[in-house]
Amino acid sequence: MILSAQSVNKQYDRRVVLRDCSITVNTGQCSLIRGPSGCGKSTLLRILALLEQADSGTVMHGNLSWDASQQNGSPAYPFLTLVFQQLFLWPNLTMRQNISIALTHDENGFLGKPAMEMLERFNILPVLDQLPHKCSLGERQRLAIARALLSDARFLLLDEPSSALDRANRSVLVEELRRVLANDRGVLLITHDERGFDGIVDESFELENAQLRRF
Amino acid sequence: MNQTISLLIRYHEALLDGALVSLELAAIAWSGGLVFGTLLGIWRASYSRGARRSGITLFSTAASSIPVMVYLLWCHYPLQAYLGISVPPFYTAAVVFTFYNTLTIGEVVRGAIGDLPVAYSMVAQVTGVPRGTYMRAIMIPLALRAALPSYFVSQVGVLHMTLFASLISVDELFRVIQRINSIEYNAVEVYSLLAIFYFVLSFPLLILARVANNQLARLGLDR
Repeated sequence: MILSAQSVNKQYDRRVVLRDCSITVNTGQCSLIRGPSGCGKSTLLRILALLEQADSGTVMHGNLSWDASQQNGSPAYPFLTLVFQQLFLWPNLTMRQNISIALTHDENGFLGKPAMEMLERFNILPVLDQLPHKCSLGERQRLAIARALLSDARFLLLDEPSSALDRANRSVLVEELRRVLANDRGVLLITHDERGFDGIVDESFELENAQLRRF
Repeated sequence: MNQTISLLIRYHEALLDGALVSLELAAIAWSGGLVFGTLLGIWRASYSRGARRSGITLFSTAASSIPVMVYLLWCHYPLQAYLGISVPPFYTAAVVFTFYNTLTIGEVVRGAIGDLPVAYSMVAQVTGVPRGTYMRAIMIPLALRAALPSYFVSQVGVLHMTLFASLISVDELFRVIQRINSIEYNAVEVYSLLAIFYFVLSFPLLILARVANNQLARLGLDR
């Protein structure tokens, strides 16, 4: 199964951020995109997740394909899930509720053993009943990542997932991503910290001057 | 000051009756506006295309541009004459104030929902949270919290608006004050009394608006 964007073009006003960009990620594969800040990496993720329209191009989720320039009512989930760089945890829900509403569709739903074990590995059990604004950025980031890992999505799109993680927590993340890949799910990472993911990345791209190149 | 206190003592029953009528009118407009205005605001924000097509958006905007006093006079005199009915002025005022407050709260709620970061909804989409669950558990609570300061401030306006009911002979606070003035011929003292009454009634709402604003800032919801 593939997640793919073909010949995607996007510009904001007169600033071109994506020019004829194409990328394909397979299940069981981890791809990485790096590039300077503000170059359009997050825009590409949002286009792949059907959250933003491109000016032209095609997005493919498995056998389904869409014109990326058309507004799309189709839900990207459960084909993929996305962790935003800014996280955007819902501020009126506790950390626990931020996860349970996604996993059980009920903010007070029961979190099973696998979920609690993963939250323990990410060391966020002590803050589960806190509101997000009372937690550190690292704790919030680990929660958003754990929510994506615990989801049923076939592809995980992670925007700067290690930006607020210390070395120990980054190692936990890498181990979890190994498991994800072993379960035939795909991962697309945006990061400036490519060395941190050395052991799991199959393919790397650089987005510079609006163009996506393999490196 | 002494004269104001002596007026207060002398007319305290009439003043309290008038204040009670003003509060009753305000309470009806507050509760009706809260229910219908919240529903209107949620509908306008969530189904903006449907609201535009049905003409509700245009109607709300156009209706808000007409002063409440015009509705009050229009509903009390020509409309009732046209329909051949006679409604007690208190009920006419209650309906008009509720209608006007519905439009006001509808706009406050619609604005609060519109101000929520679109990313919250995007996260719901990419984490598989159903639309209904997102609206119930996230969007509406966040929007209502964000709307609270504006809500309280606008409700002070509703309380002040009740003095227009005197125009259609409702015995609310302003009308009582006018009667006292016609007896006493002491405008400064009498209207100072009115100011004191409105201050006592309005100040708690303004404090609540301030508290709500501080709570929002603490929650990171300040816009």
